[in-house]
Amino acid sequence: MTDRLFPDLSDAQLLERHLQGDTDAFGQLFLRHRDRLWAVAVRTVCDPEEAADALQEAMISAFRRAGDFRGDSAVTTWLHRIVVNASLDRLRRKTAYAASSVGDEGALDLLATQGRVPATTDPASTRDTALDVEAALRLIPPEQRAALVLVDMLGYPVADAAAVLDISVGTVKSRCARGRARLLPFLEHLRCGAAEPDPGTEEGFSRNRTATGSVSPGQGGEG
Amino acid sequence: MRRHSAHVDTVVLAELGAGMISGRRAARIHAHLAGCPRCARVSAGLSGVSVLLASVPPPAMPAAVATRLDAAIAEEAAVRSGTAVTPVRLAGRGPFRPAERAGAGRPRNRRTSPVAVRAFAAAAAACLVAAGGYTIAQLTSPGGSGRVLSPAAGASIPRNGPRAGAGPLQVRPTHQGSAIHAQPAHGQPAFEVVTSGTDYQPATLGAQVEAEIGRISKIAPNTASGERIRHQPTAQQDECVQGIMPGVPPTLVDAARYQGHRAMVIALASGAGELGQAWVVGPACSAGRADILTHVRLPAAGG
Repeated sequence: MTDRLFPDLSDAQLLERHLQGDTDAFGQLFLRHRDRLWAVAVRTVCDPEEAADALQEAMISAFRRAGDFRGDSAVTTWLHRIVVNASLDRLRRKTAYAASSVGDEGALDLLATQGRVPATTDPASTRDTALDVEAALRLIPPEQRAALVLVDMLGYPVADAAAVLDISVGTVKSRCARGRARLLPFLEHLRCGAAEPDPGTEEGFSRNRTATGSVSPGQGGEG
Repeated sequence: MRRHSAHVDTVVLAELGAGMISGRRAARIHAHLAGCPRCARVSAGLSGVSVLLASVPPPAMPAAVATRLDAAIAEEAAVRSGTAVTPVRLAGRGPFRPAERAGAGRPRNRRTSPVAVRAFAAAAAACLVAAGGYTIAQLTSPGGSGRVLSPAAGASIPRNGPRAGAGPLQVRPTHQGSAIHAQPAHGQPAFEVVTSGTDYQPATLGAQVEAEIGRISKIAPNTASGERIRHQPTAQQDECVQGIMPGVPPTLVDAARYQGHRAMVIALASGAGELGQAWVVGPACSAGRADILTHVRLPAAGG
């Protein structure tokens, strides 16, 4: 349904069509991956408006610079890299502007007011968890956040994340490790309400996955 | 019983969990974990963080964002293939991004802000309707080189345009007027900037904007007090406003503050049957970047 126009073409072939002047090829390529690219942008930037700007910037850049794609990585990796870079760029510019860390204070407030609610049984718990996680993610450095978004949240293999971020596998692991260590104090309380976990298990954490809003990897949205 | 003289640093435990530590050092930490409930709990908590992060479903792209991005990409494609009429607006003011490398024979596109792109897409649609079906027209600058965009290489690829591949594209001078209407008073800012000194706040933004619009409408531009607070926009302010509201003169442009920070408020008053709206933009707002901090709808006129 997402590929009415080019059902049989690979991403690389679509990009080639785009380079040859096909008007629809790039839009189709974006359609295939937009939900994942959106997830990367909005999780990294932590602000839907800014994320939309970053993603648009990234896609226009990718559109214009498609000739720079060398084929030494997957097209998706290349697209993700452009989106991550646009997101981090936007954050850097924003930080340069807003010297005061309003965002972080806001996130701390959110944690202070909502974070203590022990809620793992009521239906709203998944949403609360998501809010807590979003608030906590704002408190860690953007580079660590970007790594965790790719590896932990979106489930990319570390090697793929390294290719996207254009850093070594070791650096990805290190950023993830540091990010998790920083997040721990903010997210630990989410264990409460559940059975006291045994050390070494993960059962204390909410494992709920709702169907709403979930995205299957590599699939676009409606066609 | 094993001794555990000192607890293991959380980052080290996280590195162990990430597979960064191996060999004898890893064995030593594992041995410590076996005998230290506190470190074992931290270690389990760290794995729990990963599980928790994975449990949050990725957000679906909002329909409005999808629409906006589709429009931006379609506009970009239209510009590239020469079917868009919209570059007219930026021809006189927008900085063109210099070619960074020898391209594949494709025209270089101008730099646009995301918001502007969206607006351009709408303007393009309007222009195309106005042009009465002459969709494949690239307007040339008067007296200029008459740059006519030809379809990109690969003529065998089918295109959507009604006259795709029909040779060099023709300029339709008789329709220039309708396209140029998208930009009033070309080259001349159609608004003035006031400096009210207001510190706009999120909770009261709409009311503050309304109050400012009311106040400004009472001050004649040529009085002494009027001159003191009305200025011609700087080039950047002009580009910023044009990017956000291309072709529409704003009711109010106030170089003020928002939550204590330097910001500019751009507002369009409510009109007949149409809600007004206001944007608060940061100091970085320019032709290439909207830098929108927030946006509100204004109450209906008289309400």
